[in-house]
Amino acid sequence: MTFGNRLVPVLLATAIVTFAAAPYVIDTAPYESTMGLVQRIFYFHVPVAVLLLATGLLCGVGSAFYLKNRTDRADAFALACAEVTFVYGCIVLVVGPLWARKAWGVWWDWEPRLTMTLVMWMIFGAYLLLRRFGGAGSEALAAAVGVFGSVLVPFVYWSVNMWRTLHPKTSVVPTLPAPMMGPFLWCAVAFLALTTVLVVLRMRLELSRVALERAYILLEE
Amino acid sequence: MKRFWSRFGPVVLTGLFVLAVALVRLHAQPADEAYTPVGDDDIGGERLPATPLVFAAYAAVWVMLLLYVVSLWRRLGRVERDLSEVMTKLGGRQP
Repeated sequence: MTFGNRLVPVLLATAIVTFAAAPYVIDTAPYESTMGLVQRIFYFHVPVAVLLLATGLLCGVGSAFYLKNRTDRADAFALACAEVTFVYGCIVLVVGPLWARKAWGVWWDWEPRLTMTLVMWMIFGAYLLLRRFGGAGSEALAAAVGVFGSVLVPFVYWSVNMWRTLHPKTSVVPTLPAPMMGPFLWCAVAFLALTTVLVVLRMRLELSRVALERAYILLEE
Repeated sequence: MKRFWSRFGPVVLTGLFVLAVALVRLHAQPADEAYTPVGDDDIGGERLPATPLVFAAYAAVWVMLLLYVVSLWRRLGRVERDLSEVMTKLGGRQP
């Protein structure tokens, strides 16, 4: 039993417990003065957005490692991170407009943070399409796309500070008042545990798939 | 001169009044920037309730996460089942 496999039950239990208690913990947070109830979306939106950037960056690291060393584990790690980045991108790009409709009066605005997040999501979508339909040898090309996609992460993060945008700046989370910081950290722990489980399971799936392909070849010989 | 004002004075004053009214109307604010009164019932219709948006947001997160977890679980189960079958056929040989 590997370290990852031992980790999964513990992290899964942590995620289940923290997610089950999350509504009660979020309910203890005070309302924000200008946005009121709709600001409650923050407690799920921001942890997912942070982990979207983290997994995007880790996909780039895994891809770069694969391009250098060509190991199955690095490739599986990059693929797992890319898939989770894509799923989290879907969540952020659906939940964000629901919040924006009330806070900004519009569903979408072509401002830097939103536009760059959409572009990054499409790049990771391209990575997954390449892996699915690229055929033999597409791993290296996909890894290059993964590195390219991860380069966008710092731009997405700092875009709100570099350009004039509707989106709140990165200073919001560090300056959260304590009654809001507690529920935020609670949800962040829940999503971090779930993300780790998803990445480990997706890695296991890819490594099993590679082993199955090799076993079929050995069976035919 | 006195005869001019006594004869054309009312006409000149009327002309100046018409000119002043025309200038005021010309420089008046456009209608879309002016205040428009509405009834009490109309104000409530303009407010966007936050509750459906918050519920939709949390529901969207759960639905997408569940779909991904179920998809991952099914793919993993299928591949590991196939792998164990092939490994049984292979005997002791390792791929």
